[in-house]
Amino acid sequence: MAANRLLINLPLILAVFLQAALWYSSRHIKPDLAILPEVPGKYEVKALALGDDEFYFRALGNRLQMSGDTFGRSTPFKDYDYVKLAEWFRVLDSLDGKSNYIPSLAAYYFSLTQRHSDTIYVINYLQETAAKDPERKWWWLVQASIIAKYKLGDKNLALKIAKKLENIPGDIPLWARQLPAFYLADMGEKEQAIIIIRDLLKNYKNLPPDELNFMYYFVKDRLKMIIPEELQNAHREER
Amino acid sequence: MLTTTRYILLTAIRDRLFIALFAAIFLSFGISVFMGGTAVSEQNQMIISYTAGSSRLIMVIGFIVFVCFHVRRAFDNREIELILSRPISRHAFIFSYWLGFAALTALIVLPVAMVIGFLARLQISGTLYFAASLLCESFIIVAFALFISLILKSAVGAVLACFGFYFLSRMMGFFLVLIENSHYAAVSLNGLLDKLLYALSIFAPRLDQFAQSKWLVYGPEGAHLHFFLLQTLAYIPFLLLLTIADFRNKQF
Repeated sequence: MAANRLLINLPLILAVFLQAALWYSSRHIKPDLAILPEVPGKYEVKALALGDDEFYFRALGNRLQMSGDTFGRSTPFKDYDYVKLAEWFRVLDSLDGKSNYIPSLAAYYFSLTQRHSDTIYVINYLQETAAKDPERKWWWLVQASIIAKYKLGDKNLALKIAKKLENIPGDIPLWARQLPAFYLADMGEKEQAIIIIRDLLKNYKNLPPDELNFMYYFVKDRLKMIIPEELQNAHREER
Repeated sequence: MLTTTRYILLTAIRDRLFIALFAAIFLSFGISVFMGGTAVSEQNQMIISYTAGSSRLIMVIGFIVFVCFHVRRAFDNREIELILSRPISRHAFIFSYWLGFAALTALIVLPVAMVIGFLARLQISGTLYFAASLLCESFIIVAFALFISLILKSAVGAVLACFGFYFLSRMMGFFLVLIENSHYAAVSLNGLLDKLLYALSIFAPRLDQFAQSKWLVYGPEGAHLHFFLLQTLAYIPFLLLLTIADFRNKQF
């Protein structure tokens, strides 16, 4: 009886020791919880979407939004790899180029990084996504220029992006087209700002009174320049 | 024929299929609302996509499991022999069985589509396209599940085969792109695989064109109603005839 018990207990003790030894050697092997998951290829996401790109786009988009803050972690944006992040943006755009979810994630969320130099990746992505459909996505050019000016601190880049807004076809608000004038005024380039205002007056007839008023007081009070004749006439007619 | 159809519906109630599927879909809806609510923007679109995509998957998995295990159990319990002892031909038996499963899918798909339609009420035509194509997709899936479960002796094997068929059909568009972009020589192994996959694509339905949640978000732009109706009308008779051809040779 005792021999039988020993026959069972001895292998059991050995198995426990073997398991403990295995634990000892493997206790440092942990899953690699990278902040951002590896970027899948465009073909890969198309295959895994199983024909429903929109569902997979939303699922991956949400995953990207939550990345870094999963498994009980809280990761500051400065620790993110923004090169990888920008690749993620582009891959997700290939699944749904119409949605504003990824641009808003980039502009309102990931642009808040403590390392301001990383915002260049967000700015580049926003410019790319806006270029695909400028009439519908001009807003992201505005955001890109604002991030360039206030986060990255590159006024020339902000101006360069804002200038793209001047020639976008379609019905975009006048203030967006005037954005370069605001930046130029801020940079002390008042004559250049006036040229933009004059161009707008030349290209857009029947401007609403509020827009004309704004232009008038922008030149008069902000630029402190002589009001161009065409602006004076238009402003007088409206009054 | 109607008796068999009624019998299928009764077994679905007996197996608590309706309760199980509606509970799972309700749970997925809750998770979709929660997950969608956490999005930085486009929360409604997120909820709609999650609900539509997850409901479709739950329903397809539910239908496959139910059909495969139902048929296998009917064989094991000799219910099929009992039905066939009545004055019913084998092809009528197959058709009425499929009709029963199709009615069952309609009873589940339509209420779910209505809920999704309520969420995506701004896209009425998109919702109608989604509901119609989801129904067609379910009809094809139950027809394939019936076909494979009558051939294979194992219910688990039938379920796995159905999943393989479903995922393959959902990826067929992608495979065709890969074949088109292939730069391998025709004699190489990859070239042979391309040809094999190309041949397979002739017999696989293009389910990747069905039930896309983007229609619920942006409208049915790029959707072809006639395509998925024609695909359903072409594929279901093909599967049912294959099933009948196999079933007629079965010895009891």
